[in-house]
Amino acid sequence: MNCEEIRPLIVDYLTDELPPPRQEAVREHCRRCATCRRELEDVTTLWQQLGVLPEEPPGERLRANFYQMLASYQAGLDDRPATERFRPLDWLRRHVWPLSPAWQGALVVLVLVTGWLTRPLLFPRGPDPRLTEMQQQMEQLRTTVTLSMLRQPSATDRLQAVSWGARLNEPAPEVVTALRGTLDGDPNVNVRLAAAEALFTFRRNASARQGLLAALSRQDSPLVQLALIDYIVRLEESRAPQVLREFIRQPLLNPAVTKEAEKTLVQFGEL
Amino acid sequence: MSLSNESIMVQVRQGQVERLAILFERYHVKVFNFLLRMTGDRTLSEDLTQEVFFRMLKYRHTYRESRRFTTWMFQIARNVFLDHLRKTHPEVAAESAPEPAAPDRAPTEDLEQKESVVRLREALSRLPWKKREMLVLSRYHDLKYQEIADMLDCSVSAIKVGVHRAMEDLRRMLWT
Repeated sequence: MNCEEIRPLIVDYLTDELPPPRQEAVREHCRRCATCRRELEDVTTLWQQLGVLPEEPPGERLRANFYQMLASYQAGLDDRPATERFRPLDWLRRHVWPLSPAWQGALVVLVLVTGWLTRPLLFPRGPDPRLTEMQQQMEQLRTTVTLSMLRQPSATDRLQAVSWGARLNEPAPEVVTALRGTLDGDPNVNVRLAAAEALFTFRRNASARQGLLAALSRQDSPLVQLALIDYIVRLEESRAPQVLREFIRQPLLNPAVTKEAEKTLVQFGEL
Repeated sequence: MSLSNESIMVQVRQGQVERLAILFERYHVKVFNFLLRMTGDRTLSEDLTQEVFFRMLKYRHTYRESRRFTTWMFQIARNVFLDHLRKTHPEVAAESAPEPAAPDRAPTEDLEQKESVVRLREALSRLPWKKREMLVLSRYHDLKYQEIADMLDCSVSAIKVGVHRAMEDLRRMLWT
């Protein structure tokens, strides 16, 4: 092949789009021809430069809008007019449910007994593994979204992140750590309150319990302090009286907060 | 073990629309960057990306598992971009005339890299949109010429020529 034929093939050569014999022909030609070799070097350089053009992250509003759109779409699917939807209960009432109360009772007993007898056939090996896998993936997704959105500058996004996190069945350690960080350091009171509530939801987790106990002395907002006192009481935690005693020793506490903490200590039999 | 894009999209098609969230998390940055390279406008690209995922829901019944998910997704992204172009610049959409866009600039890069990145972005944005589209799909989105040809409804040769000419144009803009 001559230079005129080789040049249009140089990008294809770089992108591996040529069949092997033509790939070899371009390589061989460029080895011998200085002009085409320079052309190949130039195109390679430009191709590489294009490759380093950084990928930009979109703004967080895109994610928030997407999840809002998804929720609206799902709601829309459920909002179809009644005529378009199949209503199993209506169908059963019209076609199967007997009019006589005696027959109604007999039918209920029949359904219950049949259900009980066929139970081992219907559920032989516990839950469906595909369903379990899907649930795990949703959990993983929620974890990723929570951790990512907790770092956003917008308080609304962080609130949404906490709300996502609180819906996890088994929070990953990094989610609990992130929620503890949010409770201790988020500049927005509402986000801190939401984080406290989420940690209380996860109260079976030792780190979440510790996060609630440790956060009390770090808060300056009376609202958050009152919420934490309430959660700490409900934790039924042996370290609670000690935490509250240390807390009321702090100077400049809001009187209403001090009163609530003292009342709680009385309940614990500590004052 | 994570499910393939294709099997997730089949689940979406079958009515589990919430599964689209997984594909959104995997691909929204890619779609956004494709649109950003085509339009040069961040806010517009965010809106168009949203529209792409909305259309995936709306037209989910058109997805066939025999087709690679990313090819189908970029096909939708391209249609969204073209619809926008037809609305705002009908004359440009009809022809392959250049679509000058003012690219947004990345906030944090050292000066030398920043200059080079800005020059590249500007040059890319000055390419006629059809050439730009072929080059962007080929260079940034891991699509083979055959897939791009299917998406753009043209021959593989047309893609080869388009990418080659786009590179020629870029070289002229950057190095002469």
